[in-house]
Amino acid sequence: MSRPDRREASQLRALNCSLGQLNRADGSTQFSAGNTSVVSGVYGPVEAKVYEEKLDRAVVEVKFRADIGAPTTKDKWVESAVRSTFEREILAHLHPRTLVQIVIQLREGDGSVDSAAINATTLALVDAGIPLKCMITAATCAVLFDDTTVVDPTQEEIDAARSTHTFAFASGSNDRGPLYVDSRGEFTMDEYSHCYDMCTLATERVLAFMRTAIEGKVTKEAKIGAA
Amino acid sequence: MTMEIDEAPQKVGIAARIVTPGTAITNDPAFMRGHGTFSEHDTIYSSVAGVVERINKLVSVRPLKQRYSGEIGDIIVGRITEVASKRWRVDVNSRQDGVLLLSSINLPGGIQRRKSESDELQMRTFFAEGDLVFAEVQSYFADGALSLHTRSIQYGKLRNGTLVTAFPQLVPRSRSHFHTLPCGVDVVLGVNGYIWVSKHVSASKVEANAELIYSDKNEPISDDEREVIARVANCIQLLNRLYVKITDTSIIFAYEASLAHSVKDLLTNDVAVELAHNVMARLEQQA
Repeated sequence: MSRPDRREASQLRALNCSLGQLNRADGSTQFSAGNTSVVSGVYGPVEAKVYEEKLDRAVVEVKFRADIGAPTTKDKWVESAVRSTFEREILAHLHPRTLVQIVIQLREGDGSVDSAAINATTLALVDAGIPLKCMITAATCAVLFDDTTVVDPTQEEIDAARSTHTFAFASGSNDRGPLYVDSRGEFTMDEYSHCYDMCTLATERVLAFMRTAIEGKVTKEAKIGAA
Repeated sequence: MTMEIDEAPQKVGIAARIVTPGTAITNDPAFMRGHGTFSEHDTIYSSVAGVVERINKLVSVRPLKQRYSGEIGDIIVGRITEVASKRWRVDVNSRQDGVLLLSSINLPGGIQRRKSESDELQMRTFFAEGDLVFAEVQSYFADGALSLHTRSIQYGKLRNGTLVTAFPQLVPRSRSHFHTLPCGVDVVLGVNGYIWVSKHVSASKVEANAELIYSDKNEPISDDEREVIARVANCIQLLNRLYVKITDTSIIFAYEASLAHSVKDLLTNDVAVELAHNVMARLEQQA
């Protein structure tokens, strides 16, 4: 069965990113997978308000805004997903009593929005120079009604799916297990395992893409800094 | 384009590698870990994206962009954000506000005067919220906040001018951060990226009026002086926009090149690029 955009079942959409576009944010990224496009800005570590500061670590705050409409509970879900994933991976104990604020703006949504948000946040944190334990990459899988499993589904495919699964992994160490899992719909354990494996492979490709982008930027800017 | 994904730690060839967070750098126990790294199970991993630097036994990763984090001895410009009990909180463009203790400032009326209780109750007569202060980093608090002091006649409250914000990386540390430019303008280059451009006031005049070091009143500034200050401020802004290092030399070069344009035009793209290239060419010639 062919996909509407003629991709293979395990094929990701074209990935694109640019780092450091927002000049007032400490770190920023524009990340897109096909038509799903996300801008992420990171501010921090900055001074935290007294009522929200933690004495031994930085506080991580996430704000997510959808492309249209006022904020809804769905946006809060994405915020909590991103926050819980990154709270443990940011080396927050290096910056006590500070705040790391992550702002994510969805520019265009065409499926797999939560994994795009997580990937964009990783790149923005790296651009800001905030210390991380690892690179966090995410991918989404959908099990369609005809029992095929596809990676990086578009909104059209998600609407026609029996279940969708988003996984986020830490780079380089799959024995840590996924950092984030979100499964919705009806599925069997076999389908779940199959999605897990497909997302593992997909995130490896996302990681390779991110590394290329970062290394390109570091090499280019090292020349400016040295001048 | 092939690209290696570094999974195994390497003992040799540590220098000049680009790494991303979570990359293992080495598991040789002889190395100590520096900034930008963390260790787990005897392996040193990178925590930021950047270039690996090795100095003798110290391995660190230098990221390209980070917020200004002060070092002891840095000369900075900050803005008072809060007046607290026996201290002021100062925005220094860093991760946390800096702290200026009441015991770290010069009290008016002679340097050797003892701090009195009435000084504690009148802290706003020294520095109030919104004031700009020129200070030096003395030490760190336990949570990493900077402790500042203004215990020298050249430090203290800033007046008669305008603030320009630049990237901290563009302000190199040097012997002197207070410059008087030939065009008759004083420039304070804060290492934290805050730069103060003001009307020139001679040092002797400052010393003669020791009582007025915390005055909020500006000197009279003529229209011509204002124009020169604005021109210098715009020059610094365009140097910042085009990533040119901001030193007294580069500001002077930019000022001289800018005289051909009106002050307003200096911030338009074409003029800014032309002037920045001009400055870079002269700096290279000089080197």
